[in-house]
Amino acid sequence: MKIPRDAPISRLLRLAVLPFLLIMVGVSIWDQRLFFTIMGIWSIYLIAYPLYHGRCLREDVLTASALLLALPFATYAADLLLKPDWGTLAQITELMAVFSVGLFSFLHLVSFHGMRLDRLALTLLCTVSTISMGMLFVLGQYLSNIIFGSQFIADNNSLMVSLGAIALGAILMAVVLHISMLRKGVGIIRSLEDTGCEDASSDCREGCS
Amino acid sequence: MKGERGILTLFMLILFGMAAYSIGSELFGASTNGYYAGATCLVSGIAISIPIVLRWRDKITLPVWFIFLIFLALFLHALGVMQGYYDTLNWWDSVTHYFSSMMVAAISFIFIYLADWYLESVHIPPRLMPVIVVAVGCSFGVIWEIFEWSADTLFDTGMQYSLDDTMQDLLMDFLGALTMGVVGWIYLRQHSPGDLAMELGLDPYLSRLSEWWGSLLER
Repeated sequence: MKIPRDAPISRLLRLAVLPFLLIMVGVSIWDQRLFFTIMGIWSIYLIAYPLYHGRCLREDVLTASALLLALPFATYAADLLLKPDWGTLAQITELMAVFSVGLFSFLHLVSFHGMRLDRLALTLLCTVSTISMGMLFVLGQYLSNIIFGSQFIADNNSLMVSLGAIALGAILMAVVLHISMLRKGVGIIRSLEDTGCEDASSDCREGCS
Repeated sequence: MKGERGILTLFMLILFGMAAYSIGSELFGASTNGYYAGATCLVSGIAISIPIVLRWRDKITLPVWFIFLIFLALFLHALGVMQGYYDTLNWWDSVTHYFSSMMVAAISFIFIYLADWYLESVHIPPRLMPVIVVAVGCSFGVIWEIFEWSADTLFDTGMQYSLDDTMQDLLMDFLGALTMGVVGWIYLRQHSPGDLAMELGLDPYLSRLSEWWGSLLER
């Protein structure tokens, strides 16, 4: 199923989600949140690639990934504008960003770069993709601490709680993914298989139906 | 071939020699942590002996550079425990993390390479191999830090010192895995697919394993 440029989802992503993410990247630079800057740029790439590269991607997968990738930034924007006393919620938002970016980076690799994996390999690589994204997340936070003198990681305990939550979440997500694939097959993540494209090099604009 | 045998023997002798020295120094009252250091060196010696003996018996012929990498990671850790460098030199922990991460990434590179070569259901383009090797190396680094923190919380082992220390460890894990990712990428550019599989001498076993795995997936 190809996504035409004038389809509602395509317009929503091009005219609303991508500009919103661009603005939030600018805001995060101003706010000195290196983590959100890096995640924002990467999220824009993940959403824009199937849209502008003309590659096939299931519409529901693209919509879900775009919304999940944008959600942490929506919470970040609300946090900046309303400044509620969210405490833990802010931390949960950042963890959510890690999960979304980890999962969809992996989905991107599988869908567009010619990877072929079986169930076990999919599950294992999805787990390491998310955990390593978590590590890059804390390294980004730490660099923010050093470069901008901010204190986003209070102490060793809060760092380890974040990393523990990411690792545990990644393992739980992998278990759910594996069970889903046992029931429905690898196609639930191999989004290209359900688009009618034969391989990752197929181009929607050139007649992949 | 003779020179190679001599070098591999030297790897084992160094670690077993360090074990004997450490235990001896506590026995004769010259050290207070000799038994712990000795046990660390002994375990390291046994660990390095496994790939060496397997290579000599033509069971699994791991490349010499890979055995050297394992030796370096084990030797630096054992030396750090024996001489107390973990407590006296603040950069020692970073160095051992760097080489340990390289070793883990190298092991993951070999596993991924073999899975790609032998399993029909798995194909990983060479340009993505380094990305996955780095991701696996980083993940092991995170799991190790969680293990240290859990040990500290449950048994008060004092394995983690501070936020800066943990972050430096993670940074070194990342750099070690990145180095191995680059080395793996260069290796893939210079060698034909299947070279490493043949060099390891695992072809008969892995061919059978891949057939079994394929039949398992078809069920």
